[in-house]
Amino acid sequence: MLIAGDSRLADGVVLDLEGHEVPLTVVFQHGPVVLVWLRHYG
Amino acid sequence: MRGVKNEIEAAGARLVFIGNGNTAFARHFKETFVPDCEVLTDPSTATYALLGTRRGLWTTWTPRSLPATIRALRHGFRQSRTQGHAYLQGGVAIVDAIGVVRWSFVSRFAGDHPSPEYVVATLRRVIGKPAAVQT
Repeated sequence: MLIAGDSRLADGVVLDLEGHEVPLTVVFQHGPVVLVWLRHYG
Repeated sequence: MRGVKNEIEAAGARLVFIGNGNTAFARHFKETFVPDCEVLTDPSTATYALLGTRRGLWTTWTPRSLPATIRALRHGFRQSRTQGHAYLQGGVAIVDAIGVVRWSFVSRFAGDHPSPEYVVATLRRVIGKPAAVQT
């Protein structure tokens, strides 16, 4: 589990709604983010 | 969490959802539930692994999730067809602009999540403080 101070999430890559890869660093670069990982979409 | 989007933005942050199904599921989720929020998807679940989320049949089908199920039903929530990994749990993290986690929460079982008000209060507390960086 990530704890405060950990920077490994910056290695993550996700997809936008068009299927393009988005490094999480791009998500973070505009300022603080509250990220919510969903169980599933249903 | 969408209900506190304005409070999150007032605190200087953005609210972003990451799911684990395909992009069609993600688009449907955004259009149906969070049209004004950013939604991304991670079919590989690699970021779930980075966060340390739990997975497995017994993290979903456990008596511990029963109170949350009843609470959700009372508030009118009904689960539709599962779109994504059925036995993968979620989590929440507050991450700063350089990618350092300032706070995180990993769901132990289905329905285990922090209240939105607690997340906002934590956001206000941790943002603005210098991070103790661990790599």
